[in-house]
Amino acid sequence: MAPVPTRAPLAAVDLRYQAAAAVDVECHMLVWPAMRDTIRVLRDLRRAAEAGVSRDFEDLLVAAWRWSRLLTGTPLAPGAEPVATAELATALRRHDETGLDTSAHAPLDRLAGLLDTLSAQPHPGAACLEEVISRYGRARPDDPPAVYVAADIDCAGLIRAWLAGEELDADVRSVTDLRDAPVRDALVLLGPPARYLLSAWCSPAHAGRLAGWLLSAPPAAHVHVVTWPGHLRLDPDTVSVFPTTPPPPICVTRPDGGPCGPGGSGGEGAGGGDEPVWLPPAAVDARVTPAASWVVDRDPVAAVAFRLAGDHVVFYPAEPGDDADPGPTPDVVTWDGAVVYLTDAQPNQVQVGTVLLFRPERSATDTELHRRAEALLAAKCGPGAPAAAHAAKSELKSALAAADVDAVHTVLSRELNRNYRYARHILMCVPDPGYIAPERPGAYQALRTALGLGPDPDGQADRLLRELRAACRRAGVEIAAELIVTLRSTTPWQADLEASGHATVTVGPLLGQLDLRVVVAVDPAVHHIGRSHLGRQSASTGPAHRPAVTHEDWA
Amino acid sequence: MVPNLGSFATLGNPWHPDGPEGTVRGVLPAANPDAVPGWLTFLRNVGQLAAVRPVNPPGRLLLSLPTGQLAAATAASGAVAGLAAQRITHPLEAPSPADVGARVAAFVNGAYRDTRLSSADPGAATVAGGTTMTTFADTIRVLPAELPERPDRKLKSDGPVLTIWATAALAGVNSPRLHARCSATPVVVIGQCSTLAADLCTLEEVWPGCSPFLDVDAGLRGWFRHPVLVCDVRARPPCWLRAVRAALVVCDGAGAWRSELRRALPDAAHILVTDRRSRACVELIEEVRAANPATEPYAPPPPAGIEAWRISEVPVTTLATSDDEDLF
Repeated sequence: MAPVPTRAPLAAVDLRYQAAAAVDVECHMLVWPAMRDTIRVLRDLRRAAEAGVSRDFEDLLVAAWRWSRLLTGTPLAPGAEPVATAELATALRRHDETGLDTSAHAPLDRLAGLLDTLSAQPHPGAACLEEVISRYGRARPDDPPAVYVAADIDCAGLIRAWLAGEELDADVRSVTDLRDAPVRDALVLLGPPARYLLSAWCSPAHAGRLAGWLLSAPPAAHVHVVTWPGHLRLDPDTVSVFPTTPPPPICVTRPDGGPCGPGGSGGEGAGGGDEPVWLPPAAVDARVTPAASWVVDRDPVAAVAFRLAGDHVVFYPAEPGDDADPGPTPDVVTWDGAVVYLTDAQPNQVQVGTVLLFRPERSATDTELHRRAEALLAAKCGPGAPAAAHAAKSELKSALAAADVDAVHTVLSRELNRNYRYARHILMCVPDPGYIAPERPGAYQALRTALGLGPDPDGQADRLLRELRAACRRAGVEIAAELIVTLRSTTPWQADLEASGHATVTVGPLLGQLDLRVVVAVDPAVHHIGRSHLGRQSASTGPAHRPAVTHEDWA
Repeated sequence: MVPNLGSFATLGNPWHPDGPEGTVRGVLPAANPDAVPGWLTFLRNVGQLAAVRPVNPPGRLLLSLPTGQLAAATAASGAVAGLAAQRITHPLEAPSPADVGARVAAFVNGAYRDTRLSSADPGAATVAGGTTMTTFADTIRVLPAELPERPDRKLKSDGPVLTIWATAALAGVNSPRLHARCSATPVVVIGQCSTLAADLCTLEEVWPGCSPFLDVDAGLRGWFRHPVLVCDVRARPPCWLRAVRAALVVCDGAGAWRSELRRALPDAAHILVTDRRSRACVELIEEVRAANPATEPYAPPPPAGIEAWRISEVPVTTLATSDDEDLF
């Protein structure tokens, strides 16, 4: 029996229900005119970039995006060293002096001036945060801090340092950590809940629903949403999972000490807009025109196409694979804070914003997989087992290469109870170097009979091949686990994905590199392409190289 | 063939003439009834009502909770309590003279046995060996032909299970019979056995004795022998599952709702327990709502902090029978 997991006692669970039943939400809407103007200029620049700009200008926009993200996710003053406002202004002016991108000259100049203004201003969120945290305190010195501050993972350290500098007592945690955190007095959110999950690939509405629990099931009795220009509007309609469940009452306070009252919208003074500063161009052409090299005469497969960031394309089977031919399936990477998940999805589950994982150096992974599988097999069945298994495997391939395929197909179908489709699938797979042997009971013996190899004495070869298959699967599981560990321990790829929709992660010398790409459009049409091109990302102009698998080369 | 239990819907509310609407008297009394939180009572009542009041089409209840802890265990515990107190055997579930000679599950001489039916008369049945059963006749169930052979299961007279059932028995009802009656139409919980066991230990504070009451170690092979069967999310539905009926399916989390096992039990009421902090659960509810637009709020209204909705789902039974074939 599996070890019993640690579960919270009844009192702790009851506290969480009580907090959800009577949550008190206060929204602090802060005014910051200079920041509001800066966001507007950034939006103008984004629109200018869509019309075509230089590469340096695009890099500047990404830097500006990181800068604005830091100021919307922390209470640091714009003039503080980690924010690097002055450096950004200098870079903007230097680019302006080059004479490139003349159409963006005016907004660039204005942005540089606004950054100078901001550098001299304090962050309005800092004073508000100080006031809110000061309302609560530990009952006893040994107690943990009474207030949580929700932070993005990459900003948590900065916020902790800021709190320590201001001598404020609060526990800074990521949204993932807050999920199972014990209930305390207050939770401070820097912006609406949606901000924590929002990315260029997760819409505000979807992010609002996913993070709605921060208001409807928070780990605190009081929730303070501190919001300023640059944040989304707080949309209470996305808090509840079901449509008619009323959202928790939200009391909106304004910095001028105006009247408090129930409300829900951040309004122009807070977010000033429903969309984040940076989004991919709204109109991505989803249609994919397969290049001639994708379309082959032999063995075409109905496939759906996904357009990936960086003008790449990938195809997956349109119909779910059956037991005879499952086909490749998308490897989907999701993450929730520091926790990374790698799941084997179906093509119809892939949407715009889904992150797909590819292994461009597949041969390196396969080599490592076979090395580990052979080691596992040798450990279990003896040192001679890998060679014997490969000999049994090669025997099938050699016999098929020398045989009349039509005759083999006829005999094999008969041996498999007229299962023509499975027989055809076996004969297509056998020449593949990675293929071991038919898996279904009796199919290996049927293939031997059809190839004229005679019976397998004592079923020894069949047993050995099954052990090899099991070893390969176990090695595959080990490698998948290593991939997840690598993704969890390597964080910059998430920022790269948000910035450009593409990231590369090096797993190690043995396993090579991983490519992560975001799906930017789903082509509704069904294409007919060569089976071997399924599941492999290519530039939209067509694959650069022919895939190594040679199903269609075999005749 | 699974009997159509639509006629039950016309029976009205068959219990608690002295209790308020929407609450059921439980088999296990609470240690301190005044201290039981409202949400816990609600979850227990939800399980009780869903298990003993089958409707056609079978109900689907979605619960969005601040935490997933204790919910599935509480609903299952409530369902068993409801079955023990109020379960009415449908005539189609009892063996008929046409079933004479068939393999049946019966509670004979203090043990669950798979045996043969020799005769079936109203109020009495005889099984192989000449044992005529009157008190336990309504607990006899015809076994599906594909169900593998099983050794007998003896309820130990001094074991914790029977002791608890004996303590919990209603006045005038034999405790083994109560156990057998509930086991004849069991509650299926799809989730993790270890978490359910841990939650049951926590619930002991409220309802002492509920831990062995649920007997969580039984899998699907214990059908007709345990009131609650706990199955893993990845459990494959056996082919004989089409021939039996569950009183209730409790799905602990999004994975359980998407499982093959749940889809293989379309004629039972289903309760989905979700933790609204879980991304998978939120996305599942969005998906279910999009696929089943006919939704309505659950009545009676849940306590604050809990969201409860009913949906009407078109039952679809999918049973996979073939193994996967891939490159390796």
